[in-house]
Amino acid sequence: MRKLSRREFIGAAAGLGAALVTGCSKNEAGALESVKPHTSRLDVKNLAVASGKDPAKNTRAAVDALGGMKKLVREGDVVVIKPNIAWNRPPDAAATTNPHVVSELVKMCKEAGASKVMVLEHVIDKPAEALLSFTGIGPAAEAAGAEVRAAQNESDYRTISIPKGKLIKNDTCIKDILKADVFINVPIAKSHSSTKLTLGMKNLMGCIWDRQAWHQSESLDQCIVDYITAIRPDLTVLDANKILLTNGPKGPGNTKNVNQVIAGADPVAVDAYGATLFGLKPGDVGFIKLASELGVGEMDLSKISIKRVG
Amino acid sequence: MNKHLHSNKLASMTNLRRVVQVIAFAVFTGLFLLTIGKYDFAAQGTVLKSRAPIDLFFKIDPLVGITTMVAARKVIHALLIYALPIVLLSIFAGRFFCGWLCPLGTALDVTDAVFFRKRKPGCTGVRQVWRTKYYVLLGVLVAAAFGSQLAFLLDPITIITRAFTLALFPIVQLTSQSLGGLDFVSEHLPFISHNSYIPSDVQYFYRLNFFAAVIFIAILAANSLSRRFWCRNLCPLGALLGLLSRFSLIKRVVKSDCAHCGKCVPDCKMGAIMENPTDYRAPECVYCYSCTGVCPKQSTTIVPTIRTEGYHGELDLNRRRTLQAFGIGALAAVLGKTNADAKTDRTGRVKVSSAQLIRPPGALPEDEFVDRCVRCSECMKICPTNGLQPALTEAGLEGLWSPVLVPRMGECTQQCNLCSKVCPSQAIQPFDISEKAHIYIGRAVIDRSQCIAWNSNRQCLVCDEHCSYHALHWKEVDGVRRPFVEEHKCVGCGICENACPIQPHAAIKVYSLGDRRGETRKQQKAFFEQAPRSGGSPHPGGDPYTTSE
Repeated sequence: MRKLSRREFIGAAAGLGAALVTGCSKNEAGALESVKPHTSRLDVKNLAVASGKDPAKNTRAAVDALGGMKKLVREGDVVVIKPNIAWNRPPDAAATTNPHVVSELVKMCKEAGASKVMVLEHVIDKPAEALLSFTGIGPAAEAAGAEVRAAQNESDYRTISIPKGKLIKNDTCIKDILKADVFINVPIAKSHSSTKLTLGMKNLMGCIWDRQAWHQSESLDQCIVDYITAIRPDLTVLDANKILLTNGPKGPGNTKNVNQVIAGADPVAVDAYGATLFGLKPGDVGFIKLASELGVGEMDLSKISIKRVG
Repeated sequence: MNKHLHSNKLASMTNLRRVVQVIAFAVFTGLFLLTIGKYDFAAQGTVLKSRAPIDLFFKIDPLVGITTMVAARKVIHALLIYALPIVLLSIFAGRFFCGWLCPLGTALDVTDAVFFRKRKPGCTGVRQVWRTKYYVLLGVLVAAAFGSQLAFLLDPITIITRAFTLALFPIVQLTSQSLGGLDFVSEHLPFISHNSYIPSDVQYFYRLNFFAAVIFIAILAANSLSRRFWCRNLCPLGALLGLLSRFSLIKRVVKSDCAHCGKCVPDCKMGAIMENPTDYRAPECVYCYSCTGVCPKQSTTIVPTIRTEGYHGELDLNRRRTLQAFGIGALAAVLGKTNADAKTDRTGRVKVSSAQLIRPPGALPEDEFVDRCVRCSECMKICPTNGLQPALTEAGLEGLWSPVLVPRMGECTQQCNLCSKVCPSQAIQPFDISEKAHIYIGRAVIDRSQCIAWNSNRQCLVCDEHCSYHALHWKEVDGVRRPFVEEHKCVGCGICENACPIQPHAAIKVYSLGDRRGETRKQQKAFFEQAPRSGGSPHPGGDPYTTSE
């Protein structure tokens, strides 16, 4: 056999490397995954509202009132926590989730035996990595033992099918969420220029790759609701310690110290309660109404057992 | 025995030089990497994680220093102080910079060793045109005297930094991110896509990356004509250091026992040794010590001396060529200044032709800016959104490769003043984050024929949602809420244009009409304070927002 010269070897290796690099990112993003229906280990009929000055204590009390993190997270589980880290705002501007809420959840998951806790977000403002720490969430969650990452590359996403979707039949999701055993959504309650409020369901917009497609669609509210039929968090923990009343979603604007954390397995019920904090009826918020109509959850708070603690 | 020792010592000088070259190149690359993703955003502003002088190679480059200061008619202390050691080294010891420190020179030596080993070591049939570089230097200096900073086209440090920034770095990043997309890599080798040197949150793309690469590769490829073809014949920095080193105290001295074997002649990578091997053109020597190593009798030495046998310092420049170089330099400067793109409006602040000439915040007024900007591309490299791009036509001939904000690539993000922190010549003046709400670099304009809130009554609020300065407000027109831009609040950061869902051209675009660089910071702040307190929305710069219980 003819000997390969060094030059030929280097050339071939470079070619192979280039082919690998250009080839690999494509076919992975193209694959369509059907999401197995998630049924939370928690009872959807329950909603917990914890009040108090300390956001971390509120968080723990609210989750404990639902039966505790051990009921949701089993030994060895991989947990993904999805806070709102969309904007370059400091923690006290109430445009991003309170860092103490996130870090307390990380701690609780770890205590319940989670093998790995990831805090993931598709950050809107740039630079994403620096904003993870600017918003206070990165350092707090890392100190509590989580892996914190901004999913800013298309290769971080997988395409999923949304069979129950009315407007969107497929979309993308951060791949680690699809692989996780438990998915916890940790939004902050704030005003929103487009959808009136942003709460739990709207916060899942940070799990998709192409936001603009939703903005350009006929109805952003419908997209939000379609998406949650496929990607449904096991637990939603709504940070309402300090809420943003005006100039949302980015702020700065007027804020209000509500000093509450709301937790529940029914994303619609959590959002319905959140709407009341702004003096609105659940039905006033488009995506809550549509979600209720589609049977995603219950927006009639009288049919929910609300447990108040603290 | 004595001879043997001697030979070892000389051979070790070549090795020492190689070691220093490797170290200098490593320092250059290290400093290069330190401007990528190495920062934190804190409440009071950006913090560079490293205190290393990331623009060191530009500051020590006397060609950059002299042309910038002459063109800008201003003494820039940072450039002066850092360049001084290199100037003194050249005057007293010779062109060590070229042979030992210059990263482009090292790249050329490596290219030679890897790709052109089979070529005969000496010069080939190409006519030696070593004087050309002195004409190039003269042209560049004359252009500077006429107020045009052209060194950026030909300075070796600039050329290699630009090639690294614009062409090489995005490829490295793309490779790392693509590999990171593989499950195997993300699970077992996560550092490939997530490490502190290659940012994973923004994939960088640059315009003109192709040209930066072509220029760099052409310079490397010219080595096929002769070793260090660029350094011998074209490099204006080499010419400047050569001039300075004319009376250097460290010289090549050939002892009287020289057999005139001529082995050192083809071995000289600079072609500095003349036909009679005891003679050499001193300003061409870069002290690589090859001649001392190759000499079979060890009669070639490089020693501190004031003797001048065999020493040729004269340049013998051709008068006609000199005049031509003078003319070309002057013409280049004047053509740049009379180019249509250089025409300003009646206020003298705005270039007529370039509606999209958006400079980074803190940038000096345009004329001063193009003279001072050394085109090092540090600002484009550190810009966390990849919004700063090299100018092609926006700033005219004179402004080629200078930074412009291209909002569709990335906005000027609110909490950031990194570009001003890395600018070696302070063409981008330092500023505090708190001033950013009133440093006007442009203004957003809504194209109502494209905007879906205007032309098809849709409820799109993306620009408002993103705006960091509350510069968009809403008024009901024909029964539908429509967006308007408030000129006192819009600083032209371009986040709206970046986020606008309309493709391919945004329906809201930033133009240079809001550029207020010609005004002092105080004047700009006064303009900002005229912003109306509309709709009960509190003033962004004044009283903070309320918090109710």
